Amino acid sequence: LGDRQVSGMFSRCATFSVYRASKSLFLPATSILKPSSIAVRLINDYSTRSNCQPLIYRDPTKSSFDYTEKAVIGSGFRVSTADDGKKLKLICKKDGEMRYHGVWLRHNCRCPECYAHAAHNTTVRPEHLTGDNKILAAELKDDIVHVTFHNHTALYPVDWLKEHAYSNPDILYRKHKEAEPLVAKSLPVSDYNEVVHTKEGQYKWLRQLNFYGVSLIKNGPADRNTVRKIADRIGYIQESVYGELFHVKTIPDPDNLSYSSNDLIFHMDLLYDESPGGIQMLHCINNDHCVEGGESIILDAYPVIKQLREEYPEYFNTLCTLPVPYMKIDYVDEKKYDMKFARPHITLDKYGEVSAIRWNPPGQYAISVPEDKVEEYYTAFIQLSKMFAESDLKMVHRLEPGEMMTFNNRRMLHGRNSFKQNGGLRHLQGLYIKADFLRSKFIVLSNELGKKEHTKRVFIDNMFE
Amino acid sequence: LIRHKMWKKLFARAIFQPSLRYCSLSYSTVASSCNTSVTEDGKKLHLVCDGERERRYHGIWLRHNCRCPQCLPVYSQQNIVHHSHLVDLKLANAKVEGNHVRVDWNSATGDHSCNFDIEWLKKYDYTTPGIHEERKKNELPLVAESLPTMKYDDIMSSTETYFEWMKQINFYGISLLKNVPTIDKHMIKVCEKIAEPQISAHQDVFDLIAVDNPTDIGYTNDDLYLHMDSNYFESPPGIMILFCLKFDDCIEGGESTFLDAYPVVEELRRKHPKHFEVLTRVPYINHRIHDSLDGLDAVRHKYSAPHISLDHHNQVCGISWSPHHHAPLLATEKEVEEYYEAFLLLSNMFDESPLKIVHKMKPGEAVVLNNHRVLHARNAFKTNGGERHIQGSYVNVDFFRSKFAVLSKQLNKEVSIKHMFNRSFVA
Repeated sequence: LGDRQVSGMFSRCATFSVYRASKSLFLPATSILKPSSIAVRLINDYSTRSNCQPLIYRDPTKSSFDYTEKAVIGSGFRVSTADDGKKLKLICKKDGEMRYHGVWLRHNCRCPECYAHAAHNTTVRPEHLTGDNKILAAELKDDIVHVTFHNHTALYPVDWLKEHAYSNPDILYRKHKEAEPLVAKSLPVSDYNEVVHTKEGQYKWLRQLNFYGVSLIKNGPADRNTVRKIADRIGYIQESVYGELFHVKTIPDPDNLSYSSNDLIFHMDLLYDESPGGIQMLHCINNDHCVEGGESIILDAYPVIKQLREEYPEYFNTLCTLPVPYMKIDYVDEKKYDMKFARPHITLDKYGEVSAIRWNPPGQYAISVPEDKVEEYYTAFIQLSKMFAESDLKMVHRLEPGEMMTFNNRRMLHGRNSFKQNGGLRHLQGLYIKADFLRSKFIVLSNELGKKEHTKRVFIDNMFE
Repeated sequence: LIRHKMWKKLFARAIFQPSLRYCSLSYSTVASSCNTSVTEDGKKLHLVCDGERERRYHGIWLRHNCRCPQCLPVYSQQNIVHHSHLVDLKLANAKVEGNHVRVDWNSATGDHSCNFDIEWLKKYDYTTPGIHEERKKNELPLVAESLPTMKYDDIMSSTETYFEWMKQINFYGISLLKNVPTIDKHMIKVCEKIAEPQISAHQDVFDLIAVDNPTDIGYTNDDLYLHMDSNYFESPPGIMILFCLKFDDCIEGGESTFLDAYPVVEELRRKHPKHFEVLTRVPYINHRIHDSLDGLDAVRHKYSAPHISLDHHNQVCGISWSPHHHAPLLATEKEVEEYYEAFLLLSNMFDESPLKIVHKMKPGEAVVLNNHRVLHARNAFKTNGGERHIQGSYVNVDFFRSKFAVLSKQLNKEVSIKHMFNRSFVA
């Protein structure tokens, strides 16, 4: 057909090309839209030259049966059974053959009986799957795949099937690779009013947080509770031992060194929790001019750990296997705590990529590992500590009143220089939000605004993104 | 305000014994006679106490865990030993002095000394053969033969009974609390005995009654088969409290079922080790997707984890079971086959387990369970004009563990905290 203007964005192009084809063959365009045998051959020929992208952009937020536009035949898919009814084959010229097990299909049936579309819950119970899951027949009709089992005919939109294909491991790995985080060369910045009042601004900020792990919000008011307004733009507040909102300022006899004027070495907060504080927000309320020092330092742990993996793979391995206990023990204050959690510093996911990082030297307690592992641990620990301390990627910034440092506490290490108050006040107000929301809210907004960008890994210890 | 805080701290110090405050300071018992020496050219310290096996500690481990106020500030108890102090480190000398061992080191950054309490050293011993295995064994939870029960008035009035109740939840994973006043949201008082309620999408208290357009199948009259709540988070709700406010006699059905997943999972390991292994390796995806509705923000949560998580000793440290929220499995073809065989087998074992507890809740009863370990279910019910109203709330699992640990120390109870299945490698 020679028309190469087919692209993913131009959703009706295939129809247009078919129409052009019909003109050159002196056939009325409308007859092409009916599944006559000539048309089918035409369409199949066409499909061999095009990609098999869906003709209509599907809004992933909508139930697959909501949209009423039906694609023209010729979407380029074919179905058949395989392996004596054990599997379904979906064939597409570009992506080749995709196979699905009968039991997988039965479990994930998308018909209204089996899938409650509003709540996105499957009503198929495990006991429905223990019987015979042999596929008796398979048919593609109007872009819906009908799969007949002995007691049910299951329905799946063909795009949905393609999107959830698993038989090609390269595709699975490629999807996982798309979630690889990016490393910022300098501190990403957002504007307070844009973040709070516009969806685009909110998206830009979330994107920085999701992709790069950090974003400095400027031009905000230096009021208390402003930090709540930003929190509302992502999810609900995660309470910690320090309460819902915490205040970072110097107090006598601090139960945490952040409440002193000492410097703070690179660390993450709250690692004695099952789900440590995710997104941390530090809003500067006061930072008087007479206060010397106290610059905030942020470091992306992810690339440094990658570097450790390349240069010292044995140390990397050690830090992935030996558990480290984190504790918070306080029997003096009114609220007493005795919290304990132990995991290795680095957790790997299904593909061997880093899926969680725990690094808090001040909160670390005495390791309890076999005798022959102690030296190995310390060699690796010292090496990584050195690499963090000497990394070029650190970003230093003195927070001015009104500015807010927001970062992913599961990925970025934070610290600060010591400071001298000189009679002035340095006061930050902060809170945490579960990092699960960093990916959820990003996806919701990305869909809403039609951005079609994939979330990056947010280091919440899941096996793959 | 600052002065007030200072006085409060001084006052607190006067009331509480030092041994309750810090793990590191003096455990005032009389130490048995001990001897110490430095070996391997300054690499290790040997500690031999009468009648006990020799214990060894690396010089670098000791230096990193120095207990002096320079290294471990008194109030914050945070480890501020810089990694540069651990380089070119050697033990210079070690000497037993009363209840502690005085240790001296040389390193690239200079000399340093510290006193280590002998009881602390024994507590953190890592060289006695079998010590790690023994500690692991002490963390293993217990399995209840029947539903452990407590009375609301008893836990509110007596600290001992309150402790026993917390112990039931930690050891057995479940406890039935009777005679709770049937006042709307009164179970917040039960939550507060543990910690502040964990804020979730359901706010602090959620009502399990049928609604139109439910965002979750919990809000229907349908049956729910055995599951855990909200496994689409990294940290699902920890302790779940189900409080029965109303359960009219005319209601048909609606019984609750509870099952401790831990023994069933261990049975799977014993009887079908291959299937057990698959469920520790092939992750499943749990999702929660809904659009904005009734004040709830739209969410696209997705979390992938294996059903069974193991720690470095191959002990089960986490269980995830939420079949209602399964997303399509993304795994290689071989893994899909293995997974479904194992998943369906375990599902069947749950359904047929003799350890299932079926209980029809009565108004005034509250079931407190560990949502990381105990599965819950309910039968479908017909209201017949009556009302079945259950309220639910969650408490963070880490706060529960903390409260239980603090309580046992304050009451001087020698109790090993059992694992809460929060995927920590230690309980």
